[in-house]
Amino acid sequence: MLVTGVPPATMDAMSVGEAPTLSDLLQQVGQGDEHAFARLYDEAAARLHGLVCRVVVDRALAEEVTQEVFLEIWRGSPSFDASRGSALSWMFTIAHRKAVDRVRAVDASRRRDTTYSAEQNAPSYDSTAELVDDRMRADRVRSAIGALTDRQREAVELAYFEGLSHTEVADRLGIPLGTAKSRIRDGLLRLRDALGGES
Amino acid sequence: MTDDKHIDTLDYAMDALDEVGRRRADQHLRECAQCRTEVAELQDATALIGESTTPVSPPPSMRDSVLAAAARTPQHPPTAQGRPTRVEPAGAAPRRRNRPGQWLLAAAAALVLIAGGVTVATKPWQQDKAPVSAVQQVEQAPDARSTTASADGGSLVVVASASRGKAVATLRGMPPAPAGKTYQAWFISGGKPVSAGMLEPDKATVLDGSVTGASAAAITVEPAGGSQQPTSKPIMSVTLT
Ligand SMILES: [Zn+2]
Repeated sequence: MLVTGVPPATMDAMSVGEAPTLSDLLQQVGQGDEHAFARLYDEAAARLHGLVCRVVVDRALAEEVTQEVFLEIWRGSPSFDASRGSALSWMFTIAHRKAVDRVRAVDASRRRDTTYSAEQNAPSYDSTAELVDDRMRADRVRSAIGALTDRQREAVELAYFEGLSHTEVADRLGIPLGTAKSRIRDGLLRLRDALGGES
Repeated sequence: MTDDKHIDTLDYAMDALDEVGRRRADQHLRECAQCRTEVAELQDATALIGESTTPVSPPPSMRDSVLAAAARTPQHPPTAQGRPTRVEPAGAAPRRRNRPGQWLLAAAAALVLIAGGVTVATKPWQQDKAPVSAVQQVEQAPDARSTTASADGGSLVVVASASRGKAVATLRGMPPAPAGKTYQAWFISGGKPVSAGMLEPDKATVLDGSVTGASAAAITVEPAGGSQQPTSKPIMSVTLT
């Protein structure tokens, strides 16, 4: 009975029977709604933790970082503006920054081996954490990445997963600075165009 | 752009800048729409790479610690660079000024102070209990103070913690709200009532909003779902300072 007659601004996407989007949830969180925050956690934790684990290899450290990420999402959510980008993109940006910062801060031995070796480290995960829609979208993202040239992909992933500047990427790959830069930039923009508008 | 005037948006989007560099870049971004646009474009794409990673479920215990940490952590005001702060929709403002002075007077008249209870408010859509930890965070705070008001055989207990900035309220000994009605809590801040959420009898509830700056808390009976402004006189209220 408490549900009826609530002003639209309050009810918003939380109406009975209507699943809120991540963006709805994040906006509720921005109003200090702890209940929405719990739901947001349930929706996004495995995805964000997946990225953090990829960047921060040490599992205990990765768990610390993911907790920090969620606290930062909680604190910063009042600034989330749905008209300026997707909730997922906003949260991944926070997760990436925290993860890269942490890796940079810990001693070099804990950093992932500098030889770029992505796939064999793929962590196991609980498939129940993933919704069907998410999986379809993740598949599309992966295939968009697969559509980059090998060189673009190598440079983009090296920069992203290790938080390297294009100068460092150039060093690592032994290619000229301008080349590194254009590979990364072109790769990113191509990726965005491949999936643009649907996130 | 890499010339001296602008920042390296690529390194910025890859989080490749050190702390000093990032702070400098953030400062530039506040003033430069061109770099802001570039960064936003690039970050849309970098987030996609993030999405491509395989999900990993964190340990179940993380959920509780994250939620508990959030419950005791205040949020930042909306200030992120380039993002407009939230603006009230046009036409919303005039509604709130319906003679708060008069309402306050009524509140004072209705106020019957006794000793002892605690009350809580729930958000309208919140069917289940507020997280226990959130209530406990307030009640167990070192500076928690309990104030009770009574009327009509029932009581209102408010436990407020200035350090947490929150209050927990409980209605005791009150009948359920009449059909089509609900109990609604209000903070009185700057002389004006601000909704603090709904209450159900005998259920401790963390009140919506901050206790900081509130001089009193009051309970009214409102149409189910709550009102934006009180439509009836308070049945009970407590002083918070
Ligand atoms: Zn600029």
